[in-house]
Amino acid sequence: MIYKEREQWLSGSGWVLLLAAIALSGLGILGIYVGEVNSESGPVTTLRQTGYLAAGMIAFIVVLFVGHQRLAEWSYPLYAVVLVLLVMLLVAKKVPLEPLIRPRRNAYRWIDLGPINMQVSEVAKIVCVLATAWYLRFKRNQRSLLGLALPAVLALVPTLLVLVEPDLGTSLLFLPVFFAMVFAAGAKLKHLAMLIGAGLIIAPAFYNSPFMSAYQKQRIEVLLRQNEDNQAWQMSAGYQLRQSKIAIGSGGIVGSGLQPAAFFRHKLLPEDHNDFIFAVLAHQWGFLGCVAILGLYLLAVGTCLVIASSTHDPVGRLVAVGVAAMIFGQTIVNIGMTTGWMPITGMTLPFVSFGGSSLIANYIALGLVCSVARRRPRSLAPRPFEQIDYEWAM
Amino acid sequence: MFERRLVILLWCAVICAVGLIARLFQLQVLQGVYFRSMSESALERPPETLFPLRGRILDRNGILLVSDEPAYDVTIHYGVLSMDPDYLNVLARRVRREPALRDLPAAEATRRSRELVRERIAAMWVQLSRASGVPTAELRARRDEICRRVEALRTYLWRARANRGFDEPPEDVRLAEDQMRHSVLRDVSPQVRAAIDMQVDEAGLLRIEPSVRREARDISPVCHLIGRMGEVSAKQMEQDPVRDDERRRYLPGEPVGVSGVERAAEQMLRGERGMRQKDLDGRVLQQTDARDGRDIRLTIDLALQKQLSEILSQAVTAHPPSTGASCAVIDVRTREVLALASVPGFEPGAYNEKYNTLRDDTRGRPLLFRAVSEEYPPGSILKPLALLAGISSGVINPAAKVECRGRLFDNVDAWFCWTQWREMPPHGPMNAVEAIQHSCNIYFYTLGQRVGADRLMDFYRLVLRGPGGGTDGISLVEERRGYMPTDAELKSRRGSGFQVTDGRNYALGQGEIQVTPLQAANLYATLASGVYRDPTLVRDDGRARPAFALPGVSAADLALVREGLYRCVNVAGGTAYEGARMDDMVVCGKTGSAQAVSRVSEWKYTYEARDGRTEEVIARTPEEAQARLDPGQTWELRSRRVAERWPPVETGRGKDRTHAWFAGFAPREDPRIAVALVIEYGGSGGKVAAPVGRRVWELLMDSPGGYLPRDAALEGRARRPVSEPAQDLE
Repeated sequence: MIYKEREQWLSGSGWVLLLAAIALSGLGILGIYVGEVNSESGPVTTLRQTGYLAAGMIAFIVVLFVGHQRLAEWSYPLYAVVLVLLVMLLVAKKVPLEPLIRPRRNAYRWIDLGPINMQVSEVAKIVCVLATAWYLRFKRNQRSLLGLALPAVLALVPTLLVLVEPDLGTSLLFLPVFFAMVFAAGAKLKHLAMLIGAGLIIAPAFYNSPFMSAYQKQRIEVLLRQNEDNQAWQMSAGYQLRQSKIAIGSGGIVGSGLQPAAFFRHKLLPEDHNDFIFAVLAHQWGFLGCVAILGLYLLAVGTCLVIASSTHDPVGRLVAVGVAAMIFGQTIVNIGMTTGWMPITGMTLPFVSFGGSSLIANYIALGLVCSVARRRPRSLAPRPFEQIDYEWAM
Repeated sequence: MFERRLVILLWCAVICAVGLIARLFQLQVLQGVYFRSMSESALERPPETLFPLRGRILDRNGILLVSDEPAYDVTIHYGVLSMDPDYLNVLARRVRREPALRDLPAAEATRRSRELVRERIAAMWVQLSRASGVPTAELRARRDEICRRVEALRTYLWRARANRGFDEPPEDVRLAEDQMRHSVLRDVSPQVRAAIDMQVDEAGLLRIEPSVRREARDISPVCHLIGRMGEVSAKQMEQDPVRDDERRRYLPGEPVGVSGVERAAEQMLRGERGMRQKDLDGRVLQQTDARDGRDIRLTIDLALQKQLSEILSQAVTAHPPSTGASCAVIDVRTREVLALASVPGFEPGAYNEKYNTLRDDTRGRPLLFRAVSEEYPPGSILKPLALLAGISSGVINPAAKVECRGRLFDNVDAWFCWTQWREMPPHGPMNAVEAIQHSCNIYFYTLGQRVGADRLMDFYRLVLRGPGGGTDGISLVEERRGYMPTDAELKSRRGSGFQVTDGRNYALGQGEIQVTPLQAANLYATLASGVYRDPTLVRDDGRARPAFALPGVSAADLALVREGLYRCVNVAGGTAYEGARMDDMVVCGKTGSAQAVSRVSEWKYTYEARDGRTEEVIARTPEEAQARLDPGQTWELRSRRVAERWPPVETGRGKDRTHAWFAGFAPREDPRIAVALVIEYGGSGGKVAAPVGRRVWELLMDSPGGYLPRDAALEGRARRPVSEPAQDLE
């Protein structure tokens, strides 16, 4: 396919996306700073996160120039590499692979690459989106049940591999992303319904399978018992959620602003810079700030979908939808768990939470979408999908 | 082509976002106030308790007897003392967060942190010993003692729960003590504190916590009276009148007065706790100061009591086999107790150390507070009261004479006057005044027979205990009410109710009647003033102690009794004339020689073991006996028999052991002070007790308190030297 590269680096919608993301990252850095203001060792985490943000920007620019199309062409080999890495993490559980792979809190998720500790599942998400989009560009693949089976496998393999790391939250994110992409690609509703039905049948079996460990089940219990007036429970298993709700609720309508909040200074909210950063932001900026933050996310997702609808390139469109689903899925799950609507999983808040892998991965995803916006196929007639069926579908 | 699907996806996102906004609205806007208060309370530290100082105890002249002084204790968590594995793991988890261990692999860090915790605890004991100068063996002994006490409590609770049907291993019984810090070193000096702060505290296992110690000054003359402190019992907490007041009610294990004034004045001495609430930054949010307990001013004159105790000790030593003595001195008008002496006593500082020796001294019984908690047969000092009982009941005409022929019945070999035993001529015809002067038994046998045991005892009870029944006397826990049985009580005790013969005995102050020295002193204050009033030990304690006139007794009747008491001391032939007459003051008084059986001082205990083996042990107390038994067995006491009485029993008429009493008041006109004293097994009241009485009066006159004036008009009166052997009068 022939593309017309636009003159400007970023299209208008690309700017909207980028600025929304930077605004969110800025809020995140402020939130991290609140937790360690006056700390003895100085604002180390804040500085690291700022560094990660810079790295994310560089990754964004690189991806923007390399282009989603070229990356999508390489998606199968990349997918293979990611699978190998995921398998390595599994192997590390049995055979020590130090110093390359070290467990943190008994989870094997990171590969030590010198200056950076890569969380493989963050990369896997993006590669999976790319590979799925690359596969679904053929109409034949989307409209038949058998054609859908392969991307389902594409999504399910990393899902299972991430699941046993263990990282339940990230692994379950693969499924809605896959579903959104298939849905946007134009799969038959009958097939989608069958997918949902299969999911509903598998879910209870999965809950009772050995994949669900006791602490994961306890998190569901935490969700159900969050309003219980049981001191022992609230101070042990229910503590994290209780503190999170106190931090959010005490923000009130306008929040406490930038003044150093004693609540975080005294570490009354564990994981405050990490998975529970939203509670810090909600405490700082109050209800109005929360609406604005959700507004920024909606803006980003909406822009992704606008970019998807305005391109005729099927891969680009599916990548944009996949990234939108990935970002928003994480947002919903993360805010849902901090407010006590969803079980607590180790899910970061995109662009906001502390963490190099996650931040850089999110900016890479953003770079992919902006690349879609920048490169539009040079054709007059709308040709959303390639109609030529090759003998070799793949 | 599938634009619509993209719109649907966007709508899904919007719906999800709206849902989250609704949830946030609920948390932040609707429940915002609630969560704000939650976050504020999360930022508060647990409130600290500020402990009050317990009130001081002073004597009547303001001399400090006991006070609380600030002190510092070194405390250690029970988990460290008992090396509880769970608590050590908690410490280990804390150690794991230290930089040196953070980067080690998990298993290695766990192992190393556990080792470190044990090393640090071992090092802490060594350094504590070095800093405090207490040998490690001693520290180890204290640690073991604390653990033993807590484990004993656990076993006790476990048994109690097992009896109620709980089936659990003893280790599963959780105690508050498991989570508490216990004082290993009490009251450490500032030097030791500094040393501990600098050397030992790096591991954070030790804490120096403020506390107080109850410091007694030189109080051995009032050792029985002050009392001791102990831990509050569950029953006391339950019966505490201020148990609903959060700041005043007892905390478990709190010190509380368990005996003496410490207990009697507990409600005044104890203070009110304060509270301090700080936030996590250490700012004080709220503070209520503790209110210290009230100081107690006793009515006791420490110097007087000290000298009085010396006089009594000398009297006991001078009259073997006397086992002890007691004396109560009361202000007649206010009924303030100026002295409550009881010998032998003990050194309060050495109480704990010497407890076993003190407990097992069953002859001298140094722990006994004789002035209020020992009941003696009063003997003849009760005769004036018997006379008033007769007058009050209208049976006796004081002017009428009774002929004393040495014995009550010519043909019955009993009911003698005391003249008979001393082979003296009988008293002849006696009226009431003469009968008191000479302490004539025949007159009072006759009186007792006419009045009857029940009317006598009712009158005694009324005058000795007061209309309140003696329960609110001076309200020491040791205080006993004397034994003045009713007909029914007597029936249940000895099988028969009041007999005619009881009336005769009771009129002489013999038989079942028993009184405490304090009751005797208050009786003579009552005789001096004509009204009953409760005595008191604490100045300004706010207790109403109304005066109460004796029923059926006129001023003339009282004057008659006082005339008898005057003659008893001041007119030749009176039983106290030789011993108690003074040449610079007119004393009214009465002697008494109360027959008493010797007390059991040793028992032969028979114990039976579980396996049916029996063992006989001769010992002074059951505790002493048990200490001699094989500790490997569970022994049960089956029976005990008397092994020894003290003083040794002598048989023969008139050879009974007698307590020597003297009781009286002075001066005759406008009486100010009443005194009663008893020398246990001292012999004759006139020969032994009356001279001691004289020394007591002299002591009171010499006291800087100015309790008794010298009567200049009497200066020239001849005074019999005490050293001259007194005639056997009674």
